[in-house]
Formats: sequence, C-alpha cells, structure tokens
Amino acid sequence: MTDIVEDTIDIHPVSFAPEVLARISPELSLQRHLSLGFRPSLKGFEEFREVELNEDHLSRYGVEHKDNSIIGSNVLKCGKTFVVTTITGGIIEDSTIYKNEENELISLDDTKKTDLTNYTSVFPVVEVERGRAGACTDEEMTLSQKIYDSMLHSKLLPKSSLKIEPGIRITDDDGTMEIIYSDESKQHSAEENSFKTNRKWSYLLYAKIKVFSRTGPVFDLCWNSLMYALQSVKLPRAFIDERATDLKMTIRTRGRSATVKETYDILSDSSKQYPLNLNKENIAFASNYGTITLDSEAKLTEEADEEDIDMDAVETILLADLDTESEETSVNTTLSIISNDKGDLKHVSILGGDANISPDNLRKSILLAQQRAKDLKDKL
Amino acid sequence: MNVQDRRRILGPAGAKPLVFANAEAKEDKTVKEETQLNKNLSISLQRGIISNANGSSIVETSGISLLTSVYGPRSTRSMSFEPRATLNIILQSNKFDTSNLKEISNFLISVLQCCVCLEKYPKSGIDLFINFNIEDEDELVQYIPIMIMSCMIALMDADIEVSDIIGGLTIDHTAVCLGQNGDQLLGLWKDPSSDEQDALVLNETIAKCQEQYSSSRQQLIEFISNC
Repeated sequence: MTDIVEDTIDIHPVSFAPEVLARISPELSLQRHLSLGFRPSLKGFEEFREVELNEDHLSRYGVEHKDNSIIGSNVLKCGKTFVVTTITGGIIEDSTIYKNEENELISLDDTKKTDLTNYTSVFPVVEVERGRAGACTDEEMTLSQKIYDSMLHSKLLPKSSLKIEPGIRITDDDGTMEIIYSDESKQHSAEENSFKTNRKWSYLLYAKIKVFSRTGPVFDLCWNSLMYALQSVKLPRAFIDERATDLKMTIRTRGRSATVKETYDILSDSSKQYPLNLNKENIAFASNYGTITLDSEAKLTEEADEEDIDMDAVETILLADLDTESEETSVNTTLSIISNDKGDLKHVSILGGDANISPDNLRKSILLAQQRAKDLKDKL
Repeated sequence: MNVQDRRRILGPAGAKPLVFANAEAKEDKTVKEETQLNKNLSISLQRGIISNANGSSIVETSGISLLTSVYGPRSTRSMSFEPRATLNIILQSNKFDTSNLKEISNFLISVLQCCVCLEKYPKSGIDLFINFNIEDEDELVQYIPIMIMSCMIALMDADIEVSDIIGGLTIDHTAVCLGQNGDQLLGLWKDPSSDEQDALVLNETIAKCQEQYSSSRQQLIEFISNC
C-alpha cells in the first residue's frame, strides 16, 4: 500500500487596487461601482458632465479681430475631453450643387423631395487625436457621415440662407474703390443694371472638428460643438470686380465650334458680413445613453452569506452621458438622441446589445435629452 | 463626390474657398508691429491637458496658440534593433503648406535631438504632434520659438529625460535655437522670403538672441519648478 500524503494548500484571495482592476477587468470594475450606486467616473447614473464653452475666439469675426478664413468657431470642453470646431466657407455655382442628393431622393415621393432639397448640411471632417498620423479611422468616418446626415435631416440649414447676391466693385477715375450692393443702395441702379447674369452662387460651409483627449463616445460632443459654432457663423458679403464682369473666355471643343463662357472671380468683402440665418427652432443638442444589466454576482455585500441573492431578478439601469473606457467597452446597448429643448426629436439611434431597453428607460432617456438640450441651449 | 479622398466628406469638387479682399491690410500691420514688442510679456503656459497622451502642453501668445502632445516612448514597428529612440514631429496647420511644415518639422527634430536623451529609450519611438490652434502670424519663423517651448514642456510632462533646456528666439525673420546656457548654437532658420543678410548682420542677430535667451529660459524653468 502506498501512503497517501495529504498536503494542505492555502488559497489566498488576490486583491487589486481599483485602478488595476479597471484595467484587468473593466466589466467587473464597472459592475462593482454600479452596485455601490455610482459610476467609475464617480458620477451618478443619470448625471451628465459639465460643459464649458469658449466664446468665438478663433474666427475673423470673433472677440479679437483676426485675418484668417475662419467664419465661425467654438471650443467645447466636457470633462477631460475638448472639441475645437472651426467653420470655413466656400463658393460654388448653383448648377453643380448637390446633384448627388437630388439623385438619391428620386425614389422618394414628391412632397418629401421638395421638402428636404430646400435644406443643406455642412461638410464635416472629424479628427480624433490618438497619436497616430495617416488615414482617418473608422470612427472618424462614421462620425463625419452621421453629423452630415443628421444635420441635413434636422432641417437646420436652409439653402436660401446660403444664397449669394454679389455686389459690384467699382473703381472711380481717381482710383477709389466702392462696392455696390443692389439691396443696400438704389442710386447706382445704372451700374447695377449693366451687370446681369443668370448664374447663381451659393456658399458652402466646411466644419473641421478636432477632438482632443478622447475618454468616451464623442458624437454628442462633436454635434453640440458644431451647433454652437454654427450659431457664431457670419457670412461675408461677396462682390465681383467690374473689370471681371465682362470677362469672357473662349472654349474650343474639338477644334471647330467656339463657345464663350463668362468667368467671374467672386471675392469676399472683409468689412461687411451678416449672421448665418438658421432655422432656430431646429437647433437641437445631442446626448447619449446606455443601459446595462446589473450583475447580481458582482455585488459587494458585507454579509453575503446571509443575504439571499435572487439570481433570476434582472435589474437594468440607464446611464446617461457614457464616459471612461470601462463604460464604453462594457455598455453595449446604447441610445443616441438629438433633441431640442421642446422635446422635438431630430435623431434617435438605438443599438441593441445584451441589455433590454425597457419603455421606461426609453421614456426617461428622451426626457433627459430634452432637459440636457435645455441646459445646453441656455449656455449661450 | 470628391474623387481624391473618399474617406472624408469634403464637399463638391467645383467649390472655391473664400477669398477675402484685404483692403485694410496695411492698417493692420502697424498694430501688429506694436504688439510684437510686448509678445514676450504675455505668454501663457499650460501642461497636462490631454489625458490620453503621455504629455501635453499649450503655449499661447497674442497671435499664436500651439497645442503639443507627446506619445511615447512606445515600441516601434521596426524589426531591427535600434539603440536610440526615434523622434518624430508632426505639425498640423490649416494655414501653411505641407512642404513648409515638413521642413520645419525636420529642423525641430534636429534641434530637439540635441537635448532629448534618446539613448535612454532604445527600440522606441517618441511622437510629438503640434496643433496650430491660433495662427495669426504670417511667417512660420515666428512660430519656431513657441514650438520649441511647447515641445520642451510637453516632453517634460511626459517624463522624458532631457539633458538641457533649449530655447529659440526670432529676430529679423531669423530663428536662432540655443542650448547650454546660450553658449551652443543648435539651429538657425531663415525664411526664404526674407532679404539676404551678410555674415556680420547674422552674427549680430545671434548675439542679440544670446542676450535675450536667458530670460526666456528662466521663464520656462520657473514654470516647470512651479508645476
């Protein structure tokens, strides 16, 4: 017979500091925090981060007069993250504008087509700084596209407010220059009549949104910053030099027929500008939410043995303004809402994950979105 | 749709950017010259603002605001053994040409290589990103001293060892980078647009910079010691 040697093995529980546990097991760390009634960022479940705004400091029409091409700007700081939005402009002839959109809308019925084609969007380029150079990431592409689409469908920016009515710059015999705008002076009707064209121009707005110190989902921050920046936009008056009004360019096609095309060089007036006309009632702000099922096993109770834990009971909670790495990786069920202060919804996206979104939570998030929009609107 | 870049929404290809008629440019210049004299007095320094970078800084003067972030030392993709860290500087500006920025970036790398202890970090790379947030100055040479200051603060914020606190100064369209308490000339940048200068004038410029260098160095040391 062989002797059975009985060795005793001591098992020591391993414990980690909270910040170490957050890196090793973000989900457990989140669940532990939630079971104690707050989030890893020490916020309450339905608490938002404070938003700080910087007045329009970057544009040429801002607090300090600058000589750059930025026509509207905003710096938004939310928690540790900050977003710098600068808006620049461009000019395009109306015949070529938005062909793509019209083509896309052909399948829709006529009423919708005429409705949406009266509105336009800005062209956003989102850059999230991550310490990498090169091509843009999937996140940046998705954010830009979502902002473009949401802006178009929120009907915030009517095409009519981007129309250009160019003036004419006249140089007198003594060399002094004067710019005449048809809607400002009526005495120069003779000069005005001398310049007639069927061609129409529009402004285009480009938004460059730079995100620094990203700690969580950033769509709502980018959108809100863009909303503030758009409200600060001023469009310059545009004019054509009188010498350029009768400028014609000969274009030959296949060497036989020659057509004459007028070319106009439109300049922007650096002294006269007007605020961009937005559909004020459609100014809406974005917020994001997530729902997560509480894991009853992760609960920290002092008298765990005595307490009878009901494993079947599922408790789902709503978290507002998702932030930090642990929330972003563990909360798979997310809601993104763009709403104005009256509760008119401009965009709602729900990504179903492992947790159920109950009607109660949905209702609550819509209500919170409205309140958040009200708070953000009052910040200006 | 823009054919060149399908990843970004850049708008219709036929559009032209806004061109502002600058009738008042001459008047503005005199105001600018006056503010230039007081530039050294009004400089604001901040560090540690970007949480997901190893180090960061914001340096602001009346017409320039630069945000610098340092990522590293982090491992490189290179398969071969590198005994020293590689320094990389990327400048991001809306106003200046990429080619000019690239040249400045190479210049800055050569200057910073003199003071960063690269041999302490083998097999690694240190990346610096300089974002031009406010760029009211028209000449790139005016940005060089601010860029160097911003890089130094960001590198120290990232706990990267440096052997010296270097500084730069711009006088008469010439940027001079100095180290070793002003005794060592690390780099000299002259804008191609500026007039030709003979050696004597250049020597005078360097001498002037050496005089002023200690005050800017002192400013940086005070900021670092107060952090």
